[in-house]
Amino acid sequence: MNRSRVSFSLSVLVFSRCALVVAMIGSGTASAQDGPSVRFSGFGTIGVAHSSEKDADFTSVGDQPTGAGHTRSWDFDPDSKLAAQVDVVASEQLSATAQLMTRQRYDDSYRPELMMAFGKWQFAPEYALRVGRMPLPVFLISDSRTVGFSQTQIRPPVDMYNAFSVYHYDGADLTWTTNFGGIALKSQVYAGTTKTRLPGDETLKLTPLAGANVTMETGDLTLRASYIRGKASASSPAINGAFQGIRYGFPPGALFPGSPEIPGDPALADQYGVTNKTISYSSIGLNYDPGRWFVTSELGAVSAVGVSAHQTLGYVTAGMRIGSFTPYATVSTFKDKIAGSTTNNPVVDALRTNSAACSQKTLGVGLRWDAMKNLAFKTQFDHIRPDDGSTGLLINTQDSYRPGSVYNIFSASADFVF
Amino acid sequence: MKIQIYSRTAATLVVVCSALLCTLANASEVVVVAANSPVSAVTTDQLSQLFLGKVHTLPNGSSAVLIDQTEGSTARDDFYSKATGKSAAQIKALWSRLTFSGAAQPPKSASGDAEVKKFVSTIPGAIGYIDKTAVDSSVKVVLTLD
Repeated sequence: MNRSRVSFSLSVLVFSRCALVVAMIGSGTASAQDGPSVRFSGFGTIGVAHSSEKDADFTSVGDQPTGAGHTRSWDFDPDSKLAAQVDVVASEQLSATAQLMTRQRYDDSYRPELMMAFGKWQFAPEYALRVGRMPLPVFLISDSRTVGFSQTQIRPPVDMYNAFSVYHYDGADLTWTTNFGGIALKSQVYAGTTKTRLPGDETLKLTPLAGANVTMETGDLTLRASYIRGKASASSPAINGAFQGIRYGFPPGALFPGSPEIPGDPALADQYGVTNKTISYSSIGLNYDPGRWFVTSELGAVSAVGVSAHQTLGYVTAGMRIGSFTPYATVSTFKDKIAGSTTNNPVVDALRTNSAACSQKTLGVGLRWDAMKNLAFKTQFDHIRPDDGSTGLLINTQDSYRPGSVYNIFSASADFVF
Repeated sequence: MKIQIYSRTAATLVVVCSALLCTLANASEVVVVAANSPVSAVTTDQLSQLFLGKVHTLPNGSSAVLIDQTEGSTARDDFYSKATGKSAAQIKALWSRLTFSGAAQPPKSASGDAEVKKFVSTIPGAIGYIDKTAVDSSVKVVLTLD
């Protein structure tokens, strides 16, 4: 009751501020053609997911605290969302964009979040500078991962996108868009800072971060390469408690009844704690779309940081277009591997082993139906196979959950734009 | 007698069909810029890259301002089909991605050939498409789409 009232008044506040800014900018309108123009638009997804695994939760994104399976048999939380956007174009050179979204967040609320708020200066025909809050363009469709209507699938493949919960960053980017003998080339460099809230009262910062990507498009072929590097800091009561113990020692019986004393080891705590640790994400993406059919593929790697293992991610999606129907299939994989050997500290080793027990493979088939010009219906069936002894990307695993169990996800959605 | 009826039906069919074909063949669209624009020609590839939001400049390097026809109009659907090979649904999905990721603003929309000509002749860098029969001295044809 309180929570919804707070979120409502917050959204009213944000919206009324937007409206005020819009009104202030819009009040100078002289002529419809070369004066500022204001555009309101939005998009959303109503999606439901069902999991055959009852002893753990399936989520679309890693920042969701609950999902389909244990918490709810049929769950609207993984994919449902609604966003409103305002674009103010002041001149050919200057524009501003803001986007507000409501979806399930780290604390299980649907409190609206400001996903974008930036000013753009097109200072030369081929160059643009943006400053403010922008989507973090890590993978091929990271910048539009929430826009279900723009995607063939119900959601970006979880094996690639679930683990990366950072949606946006605050900073600046510079893009250069040009044409070299029939090849459209877009290069982007950016730098800034992010702070992401995760379940379990965890905060993940990438401060500072910097990245670059190049997209090349010729005919029906698109190729993209991307690299991002940042200083990561992760903090939560659980993480901080564990590292306090690793640093200063666990007294006898501190971990479980009769547990032995573990001496403190500040060097180990520094080595495996995630405080200002360099992390990098690299990926390559490919899309070939001659019209009647298409194939999209991505490969990515995330560097090991602290107790977190090195990860390799990838998928291939192929589909056909038959009138307004697009049947498709996806195979994807998430693989993590501990770098280096075991330590002399059982707590550090347990944390490392635990973080590296997420490997899984997915086979998915689905159908998109463009029912109306603003509305698409989708249905998708995923068969997920965690590695032996792995929980895969499931969360909220119960005592009765058996690691390595194969499970299926059935999803359906309506995606719309307005 | 029966044969005669059939042959008459066949003749009628031929007439109807050829009339249809004529209409289809005549519905050719042209890509236009302002009459005084320095741009004299664009290729289908360049046009496709422009209207798919992949490049933002005209062949001479100046900023392009895209002028679309009304969403759902035959002119618009025909244009995208010929220029990019993509359906209206694919175009809608693609521009949703560009718009809602904050990458680009959707093209300016004009209702009908007359308004396209008005925008194209008054907005610097504007490029649009109209029916071949609507061409007049205010605009310059840079590509014909058959």
